[in-house]
Amino acid sequence: MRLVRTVMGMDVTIDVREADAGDTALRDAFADMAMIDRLFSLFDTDSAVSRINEGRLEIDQAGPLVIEVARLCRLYEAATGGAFSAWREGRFDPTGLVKGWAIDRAAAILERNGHRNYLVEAGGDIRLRGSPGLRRPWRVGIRHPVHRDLVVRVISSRDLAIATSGTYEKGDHIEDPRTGRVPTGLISVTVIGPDIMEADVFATALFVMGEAGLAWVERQPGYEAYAITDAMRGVWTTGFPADTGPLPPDR
Amino acid sequence: MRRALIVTALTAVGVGLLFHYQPGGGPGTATSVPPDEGAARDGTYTGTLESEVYGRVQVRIVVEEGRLVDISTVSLVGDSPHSQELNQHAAPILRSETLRAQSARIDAVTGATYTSDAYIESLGTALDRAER
Repeated sequence: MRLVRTVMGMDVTIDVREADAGDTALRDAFADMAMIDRLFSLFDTDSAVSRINEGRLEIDQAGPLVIEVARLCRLYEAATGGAFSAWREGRFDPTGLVKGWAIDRAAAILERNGHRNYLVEAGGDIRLRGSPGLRRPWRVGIRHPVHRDLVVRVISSRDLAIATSGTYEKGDHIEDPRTGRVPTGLISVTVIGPDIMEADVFATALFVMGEAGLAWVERQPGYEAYAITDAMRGVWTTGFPADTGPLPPDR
Repeated sequence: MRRALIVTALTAVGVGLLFHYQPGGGPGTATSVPPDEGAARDGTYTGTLESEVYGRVQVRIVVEEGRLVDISTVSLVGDSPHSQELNQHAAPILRSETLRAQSARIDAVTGATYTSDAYIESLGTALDRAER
């Protein structure tokens, strides 16, 4: 069963492949994301984050979920040497972490409901487990940055988080929080690993760090990265899996 | 107006390289193409080299039998100095090594897309040249 909903300002897909699956877990997962959006939306003037930024609410008083996200933001700002930061000019914007965090919560809801073969995708960030069927692993393509109908790599896995970061995604820029400038060098970044929230944060950090950031990803246990430079070269960490290529037509 | 045409062309590429391109104001060009297939002449057309924040971009299109059959990026060059200290795996992304998303049999896609104003502008001039 596959459901697509617009939540958190983006299309979110939840795909579960158990034969007798009802839609209860999917609906619960989407409801959780809608709840998260009500807390963290930058566009909803009544969200907790909006009230924090207007000085109407303190983070410490904003409830356990906001406190937890703020704690994680501080943790990953330190872990990335400031390449990831949720604070800019005094404003709190945890969007770069909340998406991965929300996907992780959705996956946990599916797990609690017994699902072991699923894929959750939000804005190009993916948490997958198990198989889509026929005992084969899930297959995820890394899109060509210019030619949308092409994929430059196929990642094949039964248990993986995949996060992406790049230029002109949804028309907005990612700035280097340390300089306020738009990073140059990489136009598409994909980070894979065990945890979608960490992969998401690391993808943003690698995009800000540029090609030199691949060495930083090498030092993060369990994580690998594939990036495309502005000279249209693919660059990747030593452990990034080789392309699995097209599937034979009879499978 | 031209931007709307470009969006049409990009969409057409996405759905199978059809070229439903309406002549934009100028006199229609007679070709061997059936009249309802548009007025672009066969050939390869290169757009202008456009600068933007990430470097420079130039787009080339190929028109066969009045249909847009290929869009490629001639140059997409960054001005930023790259770190030389690393020896990561690297390879140019060649079109021959990529896969059509449909034929790759994938369940989902990830990765950023690059649709800068410079790219759109260069593609627009290439389309203009095909139409002339």
